[in-house]
Amino acid sequence: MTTSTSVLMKAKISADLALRDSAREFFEFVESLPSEEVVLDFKDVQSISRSFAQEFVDRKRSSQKKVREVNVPQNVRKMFAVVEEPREKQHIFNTRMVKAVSL
Amino acid sequence: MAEIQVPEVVNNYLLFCNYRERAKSTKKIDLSWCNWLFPTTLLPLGIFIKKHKSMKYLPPHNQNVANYVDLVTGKITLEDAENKSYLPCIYLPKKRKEATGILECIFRLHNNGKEYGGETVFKYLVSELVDNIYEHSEFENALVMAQRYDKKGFVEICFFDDGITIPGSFKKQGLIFEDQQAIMEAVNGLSTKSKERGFGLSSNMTIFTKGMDGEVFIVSGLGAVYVGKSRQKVYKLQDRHKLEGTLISIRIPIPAPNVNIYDYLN
Repeated sequence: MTTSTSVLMKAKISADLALRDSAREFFEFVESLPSEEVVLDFKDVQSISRSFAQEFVDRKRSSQKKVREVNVPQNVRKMFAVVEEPREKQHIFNTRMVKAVSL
Repeated sequence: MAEIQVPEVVNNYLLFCNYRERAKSTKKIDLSWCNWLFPTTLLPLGIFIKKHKSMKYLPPHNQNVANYVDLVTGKITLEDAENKSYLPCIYLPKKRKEATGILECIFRLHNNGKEYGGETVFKYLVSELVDNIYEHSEFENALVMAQRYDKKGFVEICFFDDGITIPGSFKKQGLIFEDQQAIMEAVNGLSTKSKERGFGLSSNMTIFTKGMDGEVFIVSGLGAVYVGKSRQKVYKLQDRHKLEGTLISIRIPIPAPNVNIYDYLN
């Protein structure tokens, strides 16, 4: 029989999912759970950084657990989509053309 | 020799360098006639004062400015500061586990960034830059400060750490660049870890300058870059302008436009 554990993200981490390290630490917790399936409840999560989202997606991919998300707010969903399909980085500086001023 | 015209935020950093040079030669940190300090000057100056306790410190005669400096040197604590009219600078805890609570505190103190372009953009910007500090800088002291200047029409948000610098971080991974080159590479998204990483600084620069008409100044080691909406400057610093650490200083005009960050994320 498959066992399942539900985790409220806001309570376990924060309403603002900000730091990459928090995602790392969180997945260590997830891996330590005895159940095969872990349901992550994003209820009342307010924000997510790209760094957190990137680490979350990477860890989820390599997780031994069946990880499933529920109540994912639209902004969080969008950020997951951004990191799952990254575009080319936009270069702000043309490093070959820029001349440094001595100051 | 022709004087180099630099943006005001760059001048504010040079002001810190001048105070530091004078202190090194006179063995006293004399701010007695200082009447105004922007966070760009204040954060590195405060850490300099904190680290040079053997030097005589002459505080500003202006009590408001003196209090401002005390916020950074730690004479006024966060608990004290929350009851005051000015916004405090916040030290990032060395223990990463405590950082989430501090971020929540920063968000709360700044009304979740509702006046700084909206909650989503403010939280994204602060989260990414603080995350960079934890991931790369190996700091002893790291500070975040935002100050709103209604009459001047902008808010200045500063991040300062006294860690290994951006060029130092690349060097640790075997990537050797001149300091200003290293900053440009970091802004362009070069990551020492994987191609999926390195978006934080580059996306922030785009959001601030293109989305919010703001300007960003980054100084680290012997390099510095300035990016505004329509101009960029790269500086190779002399030793007297060197920063032991990294300072990111951002100016956003207020009222800031509400920005949809997803329009700017790669």
